[in-house]
Amino acid sequence: MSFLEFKNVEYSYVGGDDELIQALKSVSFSIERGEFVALVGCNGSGKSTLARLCNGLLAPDGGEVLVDGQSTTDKRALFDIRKKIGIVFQNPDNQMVTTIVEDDVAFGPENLGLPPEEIRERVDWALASVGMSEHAKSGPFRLSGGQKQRVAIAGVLAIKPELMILDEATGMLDPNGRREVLEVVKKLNRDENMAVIMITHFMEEAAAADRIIVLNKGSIAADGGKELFNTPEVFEGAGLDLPLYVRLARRLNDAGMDVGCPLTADEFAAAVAKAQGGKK
Amino acid sequence: MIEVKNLSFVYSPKTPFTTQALFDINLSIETGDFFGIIGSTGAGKSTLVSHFNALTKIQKNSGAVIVDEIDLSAKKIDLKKLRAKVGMVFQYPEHQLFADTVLKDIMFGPKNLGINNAEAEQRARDAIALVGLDCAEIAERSPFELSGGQKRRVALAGVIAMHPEILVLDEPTAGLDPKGKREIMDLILRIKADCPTVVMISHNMDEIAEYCNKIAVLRRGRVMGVFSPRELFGSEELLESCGVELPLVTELAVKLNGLGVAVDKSVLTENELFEEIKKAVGVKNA
Repeated sequence: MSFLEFKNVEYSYVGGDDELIQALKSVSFSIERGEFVALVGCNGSGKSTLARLCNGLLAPDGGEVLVDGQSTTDKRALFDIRKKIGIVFQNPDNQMVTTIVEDDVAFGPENLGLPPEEIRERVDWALASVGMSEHAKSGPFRLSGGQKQRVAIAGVLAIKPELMILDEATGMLDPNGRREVLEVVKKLNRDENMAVIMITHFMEEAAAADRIIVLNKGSIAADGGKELFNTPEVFEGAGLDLPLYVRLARRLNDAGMDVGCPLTADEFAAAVAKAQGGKK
Repeated sequence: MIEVKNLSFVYSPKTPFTTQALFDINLSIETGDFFGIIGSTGAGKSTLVSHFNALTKIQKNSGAVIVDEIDLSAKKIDLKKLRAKVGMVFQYPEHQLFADTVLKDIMFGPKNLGINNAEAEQRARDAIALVGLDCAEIAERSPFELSGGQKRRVALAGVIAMHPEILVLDEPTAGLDPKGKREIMDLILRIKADCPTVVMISHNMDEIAEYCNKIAVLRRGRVMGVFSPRELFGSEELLESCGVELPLVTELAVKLNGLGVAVDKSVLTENELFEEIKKAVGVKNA
């Protein structure tokens, strides 16, 4: 049994002009424990709707979402499901509930009814994981956007979910903050076997995942490993850019060089170096 | 132009929470500049630019900001004049839309400057066209019904309609998808034709490298220096010492050099890198 399973999920909502907007159309996929998945798609492709369906914040209009075999429409299962799947949203200001950073991080574990020593332990660990230990006693509203987002991530970490969904959670961070968060997430994925769904526009970030799901107008347009970069039409059709090195490789191939289709920046550099060597 | 002289700023002075956000900042932004401000979160970028239209008042004995002769450290500032001159677009400006129609939302700024209804409406319609939206289709709709990218453009139109001479943008492309980012940057270049001076805070080093002619690097409330893009992004030592992330093109150029492909490390755009690689490898133009 997969950890998370979408079976022909449909979801619609009423838009501004009273017209029904179909956000997701018959979406099916599954996520296993410990997977690192990037979910990419342009604005309005249904990514955030999909994230909210994962832990029952939204209920599907059709089809089914199963977490560990339990349906998200089963109200008795929701507490369990939300313990297993944590979501970090884009705007950290909407995710702060207390006046002290460490209280905010403790909010989740307190709600799980854990003993105080363990709450302490988890809060310290979570804040250290995101590099915010020195701000434990600050007020969250005094922090910068990136710092707040790291606190929000710590708050979800402290619940020790089996799957963490980052809904463009790095969108407001600076490059260093983004890299830090990505490193933290990779480490948690590796060391704690925590599954990750990273929703992002940054194709270079998506390239760090083991698997990429491309969402286009509410449907899954592609689902696979980095070899998807071999079929750029998939990304272009969904209104996305390819990573810079893939774009350059294609242009260089068109210009008569042979650099193949490199899947990382290092592979790209190596392929260009090799092409240069072959010429001389 | 904007002249910043020995500017310092302290949040919550004389309380246990006191934090100094800016230390003795000196900057000169000239007419015609596309001036980039970069630095990690908490560096003081937003605090600095919020001084430019007096949203943040200069503290006592904490330096001066002079915007085209208007001294912002003076006791009394002609705010109307200042805010007609300096257009400020905050992070996620679409969160600040409020009126029940797009047209009214955009007219709000010019009307606050004391411009009459007819003129304000004309300006709003021009601004809608400039940001690439269809006036007939969108003017009477609620801004809240629009898509994210459209909302951001309406918010920008609201500032453009005030006909600023200096446009200050705080991360104008944050949260947009690649296509949306390009559209907004193209739009900013169009605006720059009439509003000669643009100040842009961004975390996107590729955008900074491509568009700005001067770049100020802020770190923990201090200016580490003001550089031309080639100066800054062409020097790994400088980037390292300023704590600046490499743009993706620079990162690739550095990797290529490491493997013996001699491309110029001060490339600023994808096209430049493409040409450099072709030159280094010896591919003839078809």
